[in-house]
Amino acid sequence: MADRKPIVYRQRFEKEAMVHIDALMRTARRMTKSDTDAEDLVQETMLKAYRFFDKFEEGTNCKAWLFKIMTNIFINNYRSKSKAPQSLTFDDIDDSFLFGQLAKNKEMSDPEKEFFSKIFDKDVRKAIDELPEDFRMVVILSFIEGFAYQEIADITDLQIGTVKSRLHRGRKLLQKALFDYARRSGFIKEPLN
Amino acid sequence: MNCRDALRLLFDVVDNEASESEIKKVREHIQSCEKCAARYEMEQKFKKCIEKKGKFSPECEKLRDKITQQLDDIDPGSGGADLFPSPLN
Ligand SMILES: [Zn+2]
Repeated sequence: MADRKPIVYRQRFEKEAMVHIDALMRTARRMTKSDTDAEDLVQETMLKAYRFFDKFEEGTNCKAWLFKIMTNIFINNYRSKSKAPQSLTFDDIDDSFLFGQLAKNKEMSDPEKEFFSKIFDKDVRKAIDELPEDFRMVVILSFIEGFAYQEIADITDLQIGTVKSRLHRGRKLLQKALFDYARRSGFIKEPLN
Repeated sequence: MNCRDALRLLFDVVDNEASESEIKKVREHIQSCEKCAARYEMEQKFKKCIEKKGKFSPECEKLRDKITQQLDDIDPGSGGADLFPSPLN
């Protein structure tokens, strides 16, 4: 039986929930694209989580629970209501685009090493931020925050198959964008074909 | 396992979603297949690179203090039943 005394709730909340503020803030900034909105969103999320902390099942992933609360608030209160569903297709990018491009670079001794060591942090962040929203969320939840497919499905209220396909496309778009940045920065040469 | 099966499992393995037996079969395949081994290595490096370079630590000490203070005025467990209201359309 969980102890229902407020002081115990408070201690458990600080130990299990408050430690995820950094991760929530990092993602909130990317969701809202505004520091002030992000702070409001995280604050609202934490206060709501505390009010509902009796609903949190001990032993389950508290970070995933907080992200679900935050995503829910964001969808209800922050995201523009006029957002049209995205129906763009990205199937023109080959599945192994980046791998192929790097492998083709015969004039460089180790293009892969060059690519991964020299790509700028700011370019990686920009490439993530510029992904279409539907893909951006699953990429962030998987790549940056380390959630499993099922956890992402729970957080976003999507089917697991949709999570996988969005992640797949998101990864392709990210690889394409980063390759373009690398080429523009000049440390990856244009393959001669 | 052939190359097609190995590549079908690529992202499940990279994302830590594959089963033990799938991982074992993939491992056996890439030991004898240079091309698939290279692809697996590239995708794993890519994922690590995104995590390392895309993850920033936001400055949120002030926010943490503010929230901690506000918790004093809230009765935990006072939220009621509707934790996840559906979107208002
Ligand atoms: Zn192979």
